[in-house]
Amino acid sequence: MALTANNDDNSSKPALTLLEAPPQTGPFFQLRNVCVHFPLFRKVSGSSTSKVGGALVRDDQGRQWVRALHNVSFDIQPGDRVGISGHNGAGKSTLLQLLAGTQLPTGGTLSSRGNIARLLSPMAGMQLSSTGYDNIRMRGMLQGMTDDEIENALPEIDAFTELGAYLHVPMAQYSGGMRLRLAFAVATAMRPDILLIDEWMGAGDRNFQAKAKERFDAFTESASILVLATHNPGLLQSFCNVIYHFEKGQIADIERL
Amino acid sequence: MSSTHDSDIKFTSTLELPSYQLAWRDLIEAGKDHRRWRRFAYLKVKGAYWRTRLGVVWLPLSFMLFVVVISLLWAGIIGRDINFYLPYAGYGFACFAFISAILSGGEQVFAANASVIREFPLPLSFYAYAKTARDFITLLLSLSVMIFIDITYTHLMNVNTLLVFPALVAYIVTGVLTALLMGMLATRFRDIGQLLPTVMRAVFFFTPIIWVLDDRPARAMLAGFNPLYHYIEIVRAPMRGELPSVLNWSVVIGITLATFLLVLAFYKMGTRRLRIWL
Repeated sequence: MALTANNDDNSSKPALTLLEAPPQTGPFFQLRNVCVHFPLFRKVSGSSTSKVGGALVRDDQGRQWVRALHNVSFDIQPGDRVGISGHNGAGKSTLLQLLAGTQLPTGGTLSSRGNIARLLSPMAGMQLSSTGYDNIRMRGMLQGMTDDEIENALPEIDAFTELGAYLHVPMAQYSGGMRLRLAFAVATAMRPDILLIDEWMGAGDRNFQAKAKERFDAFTESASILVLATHNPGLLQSFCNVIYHFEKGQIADIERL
Repeated sequence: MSSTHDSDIKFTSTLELPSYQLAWRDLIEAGKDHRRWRRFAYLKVKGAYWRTRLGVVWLPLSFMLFVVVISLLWAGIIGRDINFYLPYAGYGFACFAFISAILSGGEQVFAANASVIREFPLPLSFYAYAKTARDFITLLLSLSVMIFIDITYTHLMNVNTLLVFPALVAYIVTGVLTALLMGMLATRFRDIGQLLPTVMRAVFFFTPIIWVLDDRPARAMLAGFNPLYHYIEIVRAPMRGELPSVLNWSVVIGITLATFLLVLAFYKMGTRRLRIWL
């Protein structure tokens, strides 16, 4: 796909050391010149000078695209705790979806290995008209847990959420924070090699935040790769050892802590 | 599968395989995963009736009320015996509802599950299986109502009725393949979601369901060129104790094969782009 940007990218790219080949064992991600473009279904005129969102680009056939990620290359190896920061529309969520295997690159290559837990959109796969229990089973199943694994995880989920009898009530009658508790508990009920998190932990009361932090610590200790997208400098500092700062779909800055 | 194991490295370059290989692999992988799409479908059906006292019982109940009322009315209008007309129209309605739901419900396949698709890397035909399972549950409940009416009242079932089983298999196979195609189309072209229900309402009147296919050649021609008629007939004939014609089955097998080839040919084009169309 031949694409030309409306605005030039002559920003100096940060130096990256790229591996020749993926590691022999253990989980990893390898991205080489990965691009993701979303089509605009209705044309707009003018160019995007906005600070927000990806660049609006035009291909040689005159079709317009949102350039969510542009020539992104990096390696993630066991032990990496990667923080992704950047403005709204910088490409954080698209990158996480790529790593999660739920978005395909429109250019470049991506290879990976490892058992992935995804906390991108915790309500995904949950149905408000179903009870808490039904949703635990549904989301657990979509996460790839067997029926036995889900049954075994139930007491722990029950204890973490503190929802008690509410687990028999349709989730439509939960508050936002209660839904978050349940979703978080199920999403973290598996023990993965790789943990992908899009920031959504803002809701929830102080008690939940503390519990989440505790579980989070245990979780990040057992997972050998963590990728966390967030605007929160505190979270980046406390969880990450390398921070990729994204601007308009490209890595603008790399910070090692 | 939502997870990979240490041994298998996933490369996006698997997309360089030809379309038919990708399609076949996806259909088989998702097909084996029936525990998950059956549950997915079941919760959707159940969810549609939450807070109702009768729950899913509404499905067969409303079908029964509708069929009985319409049959009493129309049997009188067109001067047919109710013992003949009620099963004729009833099985027709049940089958048409399934076909129509698959053809015009493309948006429910992928677009309605966008958040799930962005979170879990399931094979894409998973959602086509789930959609078909959901509509098939409705079909089975409607057929049970008709079977109940037959056992208590019309007594038409006989040994020919066994031919309904291959017919239901044909419904599932064409259903999954069609749901996959219509799902991709409806995700890219959102107008389809508006257009097709309207088209299906018109098609209903061109299909012998409330009117009876008799020996008037104009009507027989009209029905013969309507593929939906053949699909309905492979269920309706055996359920009424008759044999479906060779032509009925030939058309059904032909359409199933054609749909299968379409899926094999367009799977790659559709799935490569599907996630950016969501």
